[in-house]
Amino acid sequence: MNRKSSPWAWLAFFVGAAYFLLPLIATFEFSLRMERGVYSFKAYQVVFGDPRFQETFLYSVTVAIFTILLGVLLVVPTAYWIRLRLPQLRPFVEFVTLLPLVIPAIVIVFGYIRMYGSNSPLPLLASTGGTNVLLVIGYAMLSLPYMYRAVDTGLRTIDVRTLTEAAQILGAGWVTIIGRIILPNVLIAVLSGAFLTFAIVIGEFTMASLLNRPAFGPYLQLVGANRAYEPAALAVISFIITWGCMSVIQVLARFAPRSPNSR
Amino acid sequence: MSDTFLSIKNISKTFGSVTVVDDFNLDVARGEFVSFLGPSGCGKTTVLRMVAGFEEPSAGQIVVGDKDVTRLKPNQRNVGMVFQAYALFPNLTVAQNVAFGLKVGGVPKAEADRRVGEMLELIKLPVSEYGDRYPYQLSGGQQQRIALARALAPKPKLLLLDEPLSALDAKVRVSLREEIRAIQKELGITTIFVTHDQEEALSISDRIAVMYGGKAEQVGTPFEIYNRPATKFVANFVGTLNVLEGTVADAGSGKVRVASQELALAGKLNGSKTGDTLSLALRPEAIALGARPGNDSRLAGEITDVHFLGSVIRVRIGVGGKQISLDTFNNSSTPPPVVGDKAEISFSSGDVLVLH
Repeated sequence: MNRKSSPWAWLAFFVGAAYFLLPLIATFEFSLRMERGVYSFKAYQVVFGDPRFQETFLYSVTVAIFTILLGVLLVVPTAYWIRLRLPQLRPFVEFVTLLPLVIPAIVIVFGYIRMYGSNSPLPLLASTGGTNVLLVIGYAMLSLPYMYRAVDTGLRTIDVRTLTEAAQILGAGWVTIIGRIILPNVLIAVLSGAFLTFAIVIGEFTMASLLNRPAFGPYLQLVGANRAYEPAALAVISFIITWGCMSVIQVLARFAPRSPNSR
Repeated sequence: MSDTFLSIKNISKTFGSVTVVDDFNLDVARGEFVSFLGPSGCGKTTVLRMVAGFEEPSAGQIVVGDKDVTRLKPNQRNVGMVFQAYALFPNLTVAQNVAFGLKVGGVPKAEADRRVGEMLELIKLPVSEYGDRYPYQLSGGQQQRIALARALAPKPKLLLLDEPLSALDAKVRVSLREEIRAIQKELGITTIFVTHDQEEALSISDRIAVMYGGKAEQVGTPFEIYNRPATKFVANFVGTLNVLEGTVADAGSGKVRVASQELALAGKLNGSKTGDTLSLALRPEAIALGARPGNDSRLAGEITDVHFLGSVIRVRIGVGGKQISLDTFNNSSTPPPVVGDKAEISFSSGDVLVLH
């Protein structure tokens, strides 16, 4: 069938593309203007050479890695168990995992400060390590909607019950079943959730700022408030990191274990 | 039964208020191949899943060898199982799939590799050619054979087959069921096979348990099940059956009235009294169109339908409002029966099944 594209569709496409790309191009162009009269990557050199950039970025990457680990440990067994044994709880759990999208981060972090302050029975905020732990827990919760959905979608593509029973009858226990059968078969979905989590953690401001942690988000805000060209360079860098994560998800999706029926 | 290996004693299973398996009993001898045959929802898979340990019985006991396994977890029972949906692990190669149970059981790698090779040889998918393939690179029949090899690799005491041929096409089903039976005989492993396909059950089983409503209606050899069905359900479910309603005209002499005609069924009335209503069943192959030497009973009717099926002609004859099917061999020198013609059918009274 010869389908002819409507000119209106192309117009909508170009308007949409311009809406997304023009601010990016403008920001990029502005980030190159640090030196008067010539385009240069001077702003990027300044940003990359700033020790606070390196420290905050490294801190956020570390927090992101721990957040991903916590998210995987929390979400994979939960989503698996709900699919296997408690399917009636699925709507409730889906609702719970959506709450971080509804409740603002500032409300959550104030709740944390009240709950885990130095006067509480569990004074996590009384030490740096405890605050870091709380930040990781907070980020794991913020990324819950994305991680849970990614894993649940991955589990939907495999016959969880039969694979579990096949492994059980061959002598496998729960740890072996989750570690060697379920997790490898939803690994791509887990990685998708992991990269989304990474992108969220790298740019997050509210929690890190109110818990007073040296993260990349507060650094972006600080630089943005005091400099002209560097914030534009940082915005472009953040954008590249986020899009890089998305691209990795797309590439990894090609390596997912294939269903035996997808011949 | 001598040498009972698997003993299922008074097993029941209820889900809420629904009783799925109701006081089911069965003894299976060592090395025996027993099929659970029945329609959907009869409880056959539930019994199998209780033997595997995936469902806990509401009542009763399951003994394998001399060990009560009723409350053991599936991974503690040393039972092999093949599922309808293949259930090969998509992330593992063929060799890794077959080795899975061995690895979990702590078998040393060299021995596991040898066993994997042995198993793949047994199912005629040599490790050199198929070992590195992934499940998605195999046909349905090949996947099910790998599933069989995987189930057998850890040398289970018992093999459970849950409708393993249902998802395959007709030709592969026939060849694979013969292969399964040959492997089972070679290894001498006690096997339970669940199916709703009577031909499958009849062709490969030592014994069949025909199930209905969560109970075993009859347990017997394929010959007994087919030729001497114990209940109306078994008679109707296994094979094609013509059922005629009759009334006992004279219990003493065994005379039964069917559609205003009389049949002599001496010794077959099982204590029925004069005036009782009976269901008389006949297999199509027991009925001849016209007289046949040895057939001592006859009924007159009218041909209502003729289907030419090549080597066989299926004829339907109306006898007193009931339809009787019979098959007659095609003979090129004899014209086929004509619809509307009067016809007489004959059969041996010994072939009549009196159903209660």
